Amino acid sequence: MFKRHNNIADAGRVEIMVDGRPVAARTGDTVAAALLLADVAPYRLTALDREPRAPFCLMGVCFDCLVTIDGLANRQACLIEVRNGMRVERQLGLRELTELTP
Amino acid sequence: MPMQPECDVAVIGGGLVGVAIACGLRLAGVNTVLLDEGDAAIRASRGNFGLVWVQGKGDLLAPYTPWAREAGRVWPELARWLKEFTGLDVGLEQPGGVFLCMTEDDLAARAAQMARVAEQSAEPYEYEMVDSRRLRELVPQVGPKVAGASYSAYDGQANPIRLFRALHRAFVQLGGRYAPNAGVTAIERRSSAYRLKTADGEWTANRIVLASGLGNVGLGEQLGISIPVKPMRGQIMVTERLPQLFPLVMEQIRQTDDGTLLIGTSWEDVGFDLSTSYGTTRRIARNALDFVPMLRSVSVVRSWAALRILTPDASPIYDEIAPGAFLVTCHSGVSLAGNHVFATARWIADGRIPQNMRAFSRARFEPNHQERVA
Amino acid sequence: MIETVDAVIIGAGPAGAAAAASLRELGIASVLLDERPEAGGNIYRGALGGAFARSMSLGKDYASGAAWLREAISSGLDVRPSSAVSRIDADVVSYDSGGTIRRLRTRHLVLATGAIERAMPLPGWTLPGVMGVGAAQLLMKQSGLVPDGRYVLCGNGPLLLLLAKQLIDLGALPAAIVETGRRTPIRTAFSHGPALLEHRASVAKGLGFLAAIRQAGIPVYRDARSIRVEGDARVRAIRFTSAGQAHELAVDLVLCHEGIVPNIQLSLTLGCAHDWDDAQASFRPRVDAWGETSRPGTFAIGDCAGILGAAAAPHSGRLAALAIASALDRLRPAQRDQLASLERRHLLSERRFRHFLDDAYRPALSAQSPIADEVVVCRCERIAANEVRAAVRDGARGPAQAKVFTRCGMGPCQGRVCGPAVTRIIAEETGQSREEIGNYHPRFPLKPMVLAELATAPDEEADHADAA
Repeated sequence: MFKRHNNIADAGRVEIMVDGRPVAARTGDTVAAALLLADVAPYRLTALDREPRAPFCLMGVCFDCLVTIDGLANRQACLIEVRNGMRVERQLGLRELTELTP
Repeated sequence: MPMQPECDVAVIGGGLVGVAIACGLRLAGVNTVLLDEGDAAIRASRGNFGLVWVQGKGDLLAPYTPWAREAGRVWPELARWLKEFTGLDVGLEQPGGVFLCMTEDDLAARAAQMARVAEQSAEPYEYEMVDSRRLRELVPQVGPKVAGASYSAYDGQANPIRLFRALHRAFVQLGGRYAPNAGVTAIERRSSAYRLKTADGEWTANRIVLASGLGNVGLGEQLGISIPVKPMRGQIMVTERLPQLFPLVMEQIRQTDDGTLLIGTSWEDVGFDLSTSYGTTRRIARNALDFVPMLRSVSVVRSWAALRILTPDASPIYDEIAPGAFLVTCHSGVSLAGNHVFATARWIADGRIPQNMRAFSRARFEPNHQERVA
Repeated sequence: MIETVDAVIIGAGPAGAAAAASLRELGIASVLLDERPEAGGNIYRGALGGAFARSMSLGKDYASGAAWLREAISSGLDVRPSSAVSRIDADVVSYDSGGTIRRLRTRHLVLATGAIERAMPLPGWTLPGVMGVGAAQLLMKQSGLVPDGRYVLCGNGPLLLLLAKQLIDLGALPAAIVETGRRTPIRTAFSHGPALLEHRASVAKGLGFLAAIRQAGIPVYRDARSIRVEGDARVRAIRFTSAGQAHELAVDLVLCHEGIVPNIQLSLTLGCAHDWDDAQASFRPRVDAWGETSRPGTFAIGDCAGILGAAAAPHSGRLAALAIASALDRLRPAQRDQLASLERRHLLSERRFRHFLDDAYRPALSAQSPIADEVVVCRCERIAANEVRAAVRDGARGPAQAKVFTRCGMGPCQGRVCGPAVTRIIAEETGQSREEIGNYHPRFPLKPMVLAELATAPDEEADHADAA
């Protein structure tokens, strides 16, 4: 859906893990941008009825970009910057009970 | 010029209590109008926790115990009727409930309260005080810090907002007249009828029902009657949707049929302040994690405060406070909904108070009431 | 002890940054909170380390604005990025910073939360592959991402034209522009003659966008109706009618836009009074000549107080700073008024030009024609327009009752997206005015927050008042 333009400022490279797979990103990218660039699909399935959704507003308003980041669920991926080694998990439907074990 | 009443009964207040009674009146064929305030009204019904609760009720007024049990018994009939008539499933389940006690002291106090209720009850009253181990057999998710609980098979839950809507829909389908943005500002008694001034014009009615929650205080003053209710704030938090977790209903944390958890609650004597507060939010969250530690990573989506409508003995008032003027007030609009649709509406329809409602008159709060009864 | 400061500013865009810089010049320390990882707001997103931070590729306005922003915040301001406000109790602001709640006490609260894109509910808009024009622009500014494959721009408004021009310049041409508005009648332009003359540079810029679109040979479908996005798991096509003809374009990305509206979530939650602005088809907080809302000590500046644009934002920020300085006895009223008159002249001029833009780019689809019954309005709870209409039939006369009747607005966005649509549907169904109907009353926390974080929130003072 998106590609990186070839004439932009230099910046460091970052690698994050998305559901255990490495995804390359640029320093300063938000998690949402990195996942959109990697065309991760489905990005998310709603807890309500497993409808596929993807980031919509990119400005912290719509909550359609929610992912689990470093074990914390329901993070707004459009407001959080990638960091090397960050673990991202997609939220595909209702949360699992096993996830809730303390 | 003699008044031509526009309706037989005007129910003042479109919350759970008012709309339940208005539905019941229509079921009894009474020409009824439901006068409601606007969208911004202080509305306990919108903040309701949704328990259909029986255990412990009647602690301070013995006749409340059978009344609450009766309400639990008629609830399935109400749910069935609403489903058939409006198509809305109000999500009733009555799997039994526990009241969690964090400390041994809390548990002892609860045991004493439950024993009092059981002792006052004319019919057998079944409940069980359970220790921490037994409690976790009943609800495995409860944390190890919790001392125990009282358990009763009478308790359950419903979806309060769907109940609220279903009753509104039923009332309109039954041919009732709903008047929104018509908060009552003045009541005048004229010969055999009442004239009501509202924010949206005047209404006349042969009889009126005061079902305005805390607003009843002001309406009572119009009739020269003081009504002993005051607000008691409760704060509630709601979480994201989760898979169904608990085999029983807990008084402090319950899961709705939508999958969200409702977490309560506080008892705060702060007047009409409807805001939530930082400290209480924090305390409710801490308690919730002591009660059910597995919820650590669950997201709270929203919190709100609502005002309970509390009498000195935490029990309802049902009383004809002037000829044709019926007062109804309680803080258990969901638990008692079935009674209000069936028994309470019938009382207003035919004017004869049934035996099991007689103990709820406001006279019980008058200073020398006990002596007079004696 | 809770950290105490003279002012807390929420939002580090041009309005917030100008207010903070201006306070600093007046010797007043403030804290500037922003939920994003960097200052700059949406308008200057990427100004610090973004893909085009120091390039002219996105045009002169972005380049000079980004430079101004860098200058403003490098002057020793206390900027706290990645700090999302979760609640406000009287004079205490609680915010989340990396999973921990922090608190600030202040007598002066400045809301500078900017604008959000107007929701444009249409069939299929929840599909992956439908996004806002502003959303795509943020990806471009921060990360240098541009659409790959066939895409359309759908809607109207200056931002849509700007993005079209920027993407054309970057070589990522849209397959088409599906315009929902009518062309601006020439008499509209005439009636704003003096303002257009005064802002002729902006007018020239806008005409330049149109020329660039024409020169690139982008098909433009005008006055598009019956727009729907098709697809199963993602966008496959967009369908619409234009000039009496039905069209279907195979695309994998649809960027929608019908203007921006004030981000009023925080002012609603705080209970500030709001007015309906018919020209902008949106609500805005009621403010006085200094930007102070009906909640004493709370100001709203920049686009969150009514859309006036990035050029106006610093001026409203400085006005609030002057009022705060005066309240703190750091500025005599006469000085304050003298300094304010310059800012007000700029604001007045921007307002005149804005009246033209409001007239020229009326939201067609999202504010005028009724929303079709089956269209989802509440994306979180998946509530369609007909369900809101059914709630009205069941007696709801406002958003609060509609919310409990349908769950519309009960999701994590708390009505940020569906609020305007719900108010509008109720207005259409009941004949009440938008003003009478009003808005949702959003609740704390402003963003979802895990129980563990709430439970471990700091208690600098024993909360005796709250003891139950």
